[in-house]
Amino acid sequence: MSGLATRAAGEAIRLRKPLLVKDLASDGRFSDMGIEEISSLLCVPLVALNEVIGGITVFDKRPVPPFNSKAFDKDDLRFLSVLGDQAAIAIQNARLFQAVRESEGRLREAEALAARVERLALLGEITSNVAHEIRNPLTAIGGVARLVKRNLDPDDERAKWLEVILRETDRLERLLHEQLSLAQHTRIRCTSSSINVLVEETLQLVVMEVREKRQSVALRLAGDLPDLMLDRDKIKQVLLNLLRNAIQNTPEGGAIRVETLRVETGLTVVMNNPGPPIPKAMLDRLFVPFATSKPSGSGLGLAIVHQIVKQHGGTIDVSSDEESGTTFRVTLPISPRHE
Amino acid sequence: MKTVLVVDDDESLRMLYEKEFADEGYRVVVVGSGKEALDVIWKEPCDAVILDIKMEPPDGLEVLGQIKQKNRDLPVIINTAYATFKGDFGAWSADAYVVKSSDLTELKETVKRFVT
Repeated sequence: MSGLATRAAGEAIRLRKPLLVKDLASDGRFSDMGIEEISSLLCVPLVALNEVIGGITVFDKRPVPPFNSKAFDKDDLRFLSVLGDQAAIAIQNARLFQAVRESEGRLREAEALAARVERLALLGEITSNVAHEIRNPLTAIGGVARLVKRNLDPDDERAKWLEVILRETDRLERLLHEQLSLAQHTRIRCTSSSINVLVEETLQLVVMEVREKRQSVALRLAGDLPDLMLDRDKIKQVLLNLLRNAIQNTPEGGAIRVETLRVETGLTVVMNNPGPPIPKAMLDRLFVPFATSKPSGSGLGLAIVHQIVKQHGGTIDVSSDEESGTTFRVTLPISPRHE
Repeated sequence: MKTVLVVDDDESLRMLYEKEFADEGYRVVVVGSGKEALDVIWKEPCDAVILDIKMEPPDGLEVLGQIKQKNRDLPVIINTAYATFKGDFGAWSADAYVVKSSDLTELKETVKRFVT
């Protein structure tokens, strides 16, 4: 029976018109099916907003006196058509409603993410302020300890105790320094630099990791690249971060490709690695802090990369699929529009 | 004998710097605010200024601006707990930028560089 329904609906949908078959056995379109149980059918396509979304098929009218016929007629057709139109609109509405619900859901997700990022940024600021406010007293404590120690006799036992103070203040100062480096929003300081040199210097830093995984790095550095105004340390941080990502996500023995090339607005550094593709949902949130699912690492890496690239007036994008693996593209402009 | 003007709103640090730089052989004048700094600076002979940034207005950057406007050759060394001002346009007219540390060696050597 479902075969029949499918064929009937198929006809109605194809013609975009209701289908009335009074006698199946004598209708050329259905007689070959040799169906004896059913003699008549009616089918209307469901069309909403000019789109055919399905069909309603009914078989064999129940005979109602005084009409003893099981066959459908034009009145039935008209009735079912109206019903079909209403049904189509209702279905379409339901689908639209669903779509709106889904995008609302996604919007709420995006809003929540934005709020979280903002909170983190604020947190970063608060932490930064606290850290800076701690520095003053720390300078005084350590400074005074040093001063007193300097004016003591070298065999004075009290020097030993002052050293304890100094050891602890030094430790706190180091901690502050690390904390602040992580959360810092420092402006960039640029000097004229060759990107190829920076790429090669960065590669030197990961030689061991590459070797350990028996991977290889194919390097293709364009020869005609102009020097750009870059903050060398920060750009190396970007390159190192991307390279480490590539190494981690590439299987053993895999080949990573690093390329630099001239483009119209400046130059581009391309970093490609084979390996499992990044799912689409993750790609959209890759540069948001703490959004990565990796158990290791602080999850800040790519967020910082994004920030540094933006500070240089550049752009970064990523693509990832089964055949080509994952590719990061960092484009830096010739004439900087720094933040 | 060279004179150093120290501007910092933190009393402990004022005491520390006064002693440390006196031990180095300088005459030291200490003030606790930007306003006092601007009052005092043209009245006393001064060979270098050690300037904190985060203070009640006028803050360090404001003081820096006013000093440089009147006498571009007077060395002003920014000495602050914040590393973030390094990138601040307002700080670029300073002669040096030292981040506060309990080890005053860097600050002392920087002062020496500008005063001799």
